[in-house]
Amino acid sequence: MAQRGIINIIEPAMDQQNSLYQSAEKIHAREVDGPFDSLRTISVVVLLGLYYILPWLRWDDRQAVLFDLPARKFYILGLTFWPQDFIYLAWLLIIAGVALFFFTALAGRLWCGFACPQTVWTTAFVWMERLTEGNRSKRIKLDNSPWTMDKIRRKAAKQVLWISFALWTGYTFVGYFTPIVDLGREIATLSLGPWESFWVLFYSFATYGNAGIMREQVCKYMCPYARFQSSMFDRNTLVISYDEARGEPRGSRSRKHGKNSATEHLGDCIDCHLCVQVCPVGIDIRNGLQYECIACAACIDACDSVMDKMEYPRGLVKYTTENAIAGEKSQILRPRIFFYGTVLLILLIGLAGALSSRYELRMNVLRDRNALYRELASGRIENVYTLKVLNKSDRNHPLTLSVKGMPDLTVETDPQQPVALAGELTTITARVQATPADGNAGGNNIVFEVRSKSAPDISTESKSRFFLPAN
Amino acid sequence: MITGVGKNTQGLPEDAPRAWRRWTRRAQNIAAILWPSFLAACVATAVFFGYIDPLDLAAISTSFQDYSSLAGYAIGFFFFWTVCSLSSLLSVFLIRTSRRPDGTARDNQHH
Repeated sequence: MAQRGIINIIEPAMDQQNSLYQSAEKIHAREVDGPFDSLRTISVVVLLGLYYILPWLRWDDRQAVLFDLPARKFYILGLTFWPQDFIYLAWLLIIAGVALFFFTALAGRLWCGFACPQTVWTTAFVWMERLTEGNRSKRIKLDNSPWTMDKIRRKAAKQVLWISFALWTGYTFVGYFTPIVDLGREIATLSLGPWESFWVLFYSFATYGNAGIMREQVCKYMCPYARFQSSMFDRNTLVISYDEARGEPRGSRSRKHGKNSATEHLGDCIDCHLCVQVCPVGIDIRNGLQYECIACAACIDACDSVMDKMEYPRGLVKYTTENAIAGEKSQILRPRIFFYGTVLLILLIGLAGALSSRYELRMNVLRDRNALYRELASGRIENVYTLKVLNKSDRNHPLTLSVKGMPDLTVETDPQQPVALAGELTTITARVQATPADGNAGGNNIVFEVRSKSAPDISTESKSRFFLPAN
Repeated sequence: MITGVGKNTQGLPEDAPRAWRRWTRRAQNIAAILWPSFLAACVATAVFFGYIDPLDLAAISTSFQDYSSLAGYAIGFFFFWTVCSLSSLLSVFLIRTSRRPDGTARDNQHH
């Protein structure tokens, strides 16, 4: 099965690779009960619940989570993010990537089986399918039967559920970008803008197509993670495995007989094929770890229930490591886990620290493009600047402006009493004056500082140049 | 009932679901063109518009003056998706039409 050292993920057999033009056939996964299925149910309910409820929550007098694209501001609970905060998004994505490495090295494709949107929405769509078309054997019979009234009724009911759910999903998605209450009102009064309509339908269609139609094909043909997972696996990674030594030779037997003289040459696998029937990607886990496996653990639940009925010990198919199966010691806490874990922890602490000490004020200084300098009647030289002050907080900051870098600088502002409004970009014109003898002809480095009058510990600086005429 | 591909190569019983449900080569090509380019376009859109306001672009353009920012984001996204798709298209085309190391053509084995 597995080579020493690295884990072996089985490729499809050659004759199967040759049948590429075979049209797709539908997988009818059998329903299964068990601890892993319950875990997935919890995960699906929590994740979908978050997705559908979050946009309806309020924070002060606005939507709690809103990515306001026209205003270019992202609100997440009490925080407001600006385009200047793009670094946090990049940072978050890096954290997500390292977390994927960490959890994959630890326990294989946990993400795929329990948290991936593809699995979560597919699970919800399968529930609706089961509700309208019945269990696996009924669904197979239904798909193979001619079009009767009952079939039309069941298929139509499924489509109605699916399409409504998909449309609601699309509406919710756009509700993260456009205030969801307004969006609902616009839909109700048929006055939805063309772009919002488009995105609602686009996301609905994507949901319907991915979770209703394509399902496991997305994992098999479109997901890059499935292909490079093996580089994160090693012999100590927890994966779903069939215990070949215990199960083989497989063979059916009567439950009454259990292990007796007639069956004692058989292993514990009774070859009931339940593990194959429950598999959403349609593989046989007994053939070894395959890249199609999304580690949903449905086969573990199925096999354990059979082992219980046969009064055999559980765990013929189980989460285990390649080392454990080979009878060697498996080491879950190993350098790789510590390395990924440490990197993850450092990144998380860094993000938390950066978020908690975010500058409330930021400033950009732009020189007046029309004139380098202007001579005043008094003989002093004036340069004009535009200050763009960004207040990321949700309180107003009256500002004092000071300029350093040359002796005897004076500054006038327009407006005279500038205020950086909460959550706004405020533009201030600053006229700075200096005596020509105090600096070099040409450019001189100066520094602008704005400081909040209401909270004097909050300030920000920005550099610029002050130009003096030659001579 | 579902019959297996490759004449039941895995020794499955007749009632087993088909173990290797497959997409046609064409479906795989389409997925390999559209999906990676979609992901790349998402990244490009986020980075590009993270620094540039579509309204600023509209203001300096000649033919997009009246476009809203939502239109700007959508046009930007589909522009990136189209360009990335063209790149994926060429990649898939080059891979699918190359010869194998042993000199046989890649795509003619199934006809």
